[in-house]
Amino acid sequence: MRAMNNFKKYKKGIITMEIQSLMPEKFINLLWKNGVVAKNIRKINITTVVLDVRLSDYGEITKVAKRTNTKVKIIGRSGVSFLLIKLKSRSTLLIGVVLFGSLIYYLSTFVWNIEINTENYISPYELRNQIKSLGITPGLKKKDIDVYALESEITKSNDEIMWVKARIDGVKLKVDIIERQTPPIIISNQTPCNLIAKKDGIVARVFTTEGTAIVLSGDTVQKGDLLVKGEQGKEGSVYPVRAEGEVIAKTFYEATKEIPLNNLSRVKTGNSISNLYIKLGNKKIYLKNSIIPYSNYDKIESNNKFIYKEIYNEIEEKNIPVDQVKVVKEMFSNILRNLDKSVKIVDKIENVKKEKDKYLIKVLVVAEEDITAEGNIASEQNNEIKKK
Amino acid sequence: MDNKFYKAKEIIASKLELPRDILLDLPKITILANNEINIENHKGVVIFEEEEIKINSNVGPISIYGKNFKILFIGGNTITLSGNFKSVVYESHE
Repeated sequence: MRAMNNFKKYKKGIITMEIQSLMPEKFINLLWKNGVVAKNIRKINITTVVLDVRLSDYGEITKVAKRTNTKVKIIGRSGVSFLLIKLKSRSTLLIGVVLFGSLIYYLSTFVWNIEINTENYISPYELRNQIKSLGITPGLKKKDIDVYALESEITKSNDEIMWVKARIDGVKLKVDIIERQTPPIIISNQTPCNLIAKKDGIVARVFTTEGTAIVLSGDTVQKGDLLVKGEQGKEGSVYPVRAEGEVIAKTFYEATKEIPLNNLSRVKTGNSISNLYIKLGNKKIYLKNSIIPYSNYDKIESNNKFIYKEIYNEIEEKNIPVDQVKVVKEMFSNILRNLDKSVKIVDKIENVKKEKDKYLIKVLVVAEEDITAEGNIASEQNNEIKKK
Repeated sequence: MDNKFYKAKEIIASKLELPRDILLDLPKITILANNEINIENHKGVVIFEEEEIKINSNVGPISIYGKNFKILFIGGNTITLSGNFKSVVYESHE
């Protein structure tokens, strides 16, 4: 009886049962009168009927069955309730499933593996140790790892790493790095040579990394002079090297210009007269001829097939004084435009002389620059021989 | 006495134009094609056989002839049948 009462809780369960009675109609009517909802009633034969009822009504049905002498046989069941009933008897299994799920979830909040992808030169082992020294090890909680902080820490502590990406992917911490690639130092040519001057100048400073300096600061050098000799070592054990270094010298750039005091400029006044004529052989026959009233004029001849035309434009001549400061500036900028960027300008000297009808302008730019150029040792020796 | 009360009810219902099926507890029968019948306000199943179903009501038993009968639903005051019907007969006593 207690078991029957228990079924009242399960509203979602449906049982299919087969009833056997002499008067199945009576049984159905009784069910209906007791408020039991029945569905899908089929007659199998005169005494047997199959019907679906709710599990919660099972207690009522057994009572009715007893009264009408009906045999009840349950042939099928469906619904969530039966699953619940089954699970009740297997509570340990349920607890196990829940425990398993929660355990997996709990464990997935940790980082269990660190995957490292490197390029050519840095070994994953090295990087792994570096990450370990930053306090990041497998078994750490995911929320305790700040990947962005880790990225900046790795780049800070290792100069060879240019870029890092650290991301948590599942239970893995993935670290990808890109190495910094230093450009290789290329020494293109190793054949011994001298350094010679490529310009005239006064030596200011001498720096040599290879070879023996021949000039001292204050020396005046000419183009082609030997500056640094491609030799090294003590006397007697001299060996040729490729001379390298800088010889900073004062160089001079000069320019002179003569300009008249005034500039003549011709300006059209706008007045003009035109003559027309026909040419026959060498003779000109004027159709229209007038005396030219202007003292200064431009004459323009034009030929229109047959009739020739002369146009006289009146011209006014004006004297405009020359601005010598502007000219000087222009001359300086002309010089500087041709200089290399590495050339350092030390001084600018200008000299303007006024003569009767003209200016004599002289400008001088004093600069400091490296005047070394590579010179062949052999050719240098030849030069020396020629000098002798 | 009962009959008198019933007649009075009928008169009131017709005068006031109230729905008679509710007031008089009359069966409301809805037939869908020849394979589904729905009866409200029935009074129980009398016969349930292979080729005949008899359902009691206030206006006497209602017989349905046909085959492959199946009671889809019985509960409250509604019954729904399905099958291949041949005829529906009112078998009133009067």
